[in-house]
Amino acid sequence: MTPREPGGPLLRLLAARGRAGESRARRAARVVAALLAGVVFWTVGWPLYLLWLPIRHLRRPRAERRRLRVARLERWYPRGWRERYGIELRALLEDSLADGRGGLRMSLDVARAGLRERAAEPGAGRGVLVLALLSTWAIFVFPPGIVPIVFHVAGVDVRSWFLAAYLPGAALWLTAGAMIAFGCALLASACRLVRRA
Amino acid sequence: MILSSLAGGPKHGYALTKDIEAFAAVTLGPGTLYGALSRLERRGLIEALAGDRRRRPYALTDAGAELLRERLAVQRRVVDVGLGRLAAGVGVGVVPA
Repeated sequence: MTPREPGGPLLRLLAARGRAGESRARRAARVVAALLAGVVFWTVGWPLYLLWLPIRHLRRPRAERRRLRVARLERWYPRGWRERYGIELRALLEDSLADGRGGLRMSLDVARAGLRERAAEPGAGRGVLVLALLSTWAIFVFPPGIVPIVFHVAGVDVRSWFLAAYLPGAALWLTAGAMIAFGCALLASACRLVRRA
Repeated sequence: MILSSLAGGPKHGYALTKDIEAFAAVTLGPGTLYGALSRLERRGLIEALAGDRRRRPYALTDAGAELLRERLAVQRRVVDVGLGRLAAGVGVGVVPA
């Protein structure tokens, strides 16, 4: 049986990966540095990283940015469709971007068409989409839709994270109604996909 | 619109977009265009021709030409009836302002 190394569980864990001949004080310093690095990452690091992402994107050469955007847009489509039409779609997207037509409208058009192709494709793609729709529709209908209306009508003064509950009168009804309508639209889409299968 | 454009000869995606824009004043997005092209190809109304893979031209098939003829004939009747009635003044000014 190997003798147990002194120190707490964290130190012992790190000791297993420690360099040979490293002193306990040095190991402890590494643990503290790792903990501090973790704290810095979870408090400041990741928001800074999120800020850095668009900056990094803009620092790339224009041709590289265009290539990345076309590749991302193409990924909306299922693999089978991409194998048949992918090269042609890429060429058309590149021509459209070079022509100055690559706005948000084009991205939305490609995303919508890509999702439609995924939904039309039998097998896993359609199943995943149906599952995603069936698991999200209730999130829009109940917490931000029905619950604030029930609370408002019953005179319950609980707002929690229900957006509509913070709004006055008509705005509450409109927001809650929009959420219910959106959730129902998701459910209807899922039902349509199941019926078509 | 795509079938009408291809009735003028084979075209690739970008040429189709430009042609439709010119004769119908409608801009088809790349997603809409390729969604329609894939559906029309599956239905056998158009076919992809051999050539540059990046800019593959599409052509109308016999079935596509037949369907286009039928649809355009219906549309022509609708246009003729509408214009004829407008010219005769039937129904114009019936609803008081």
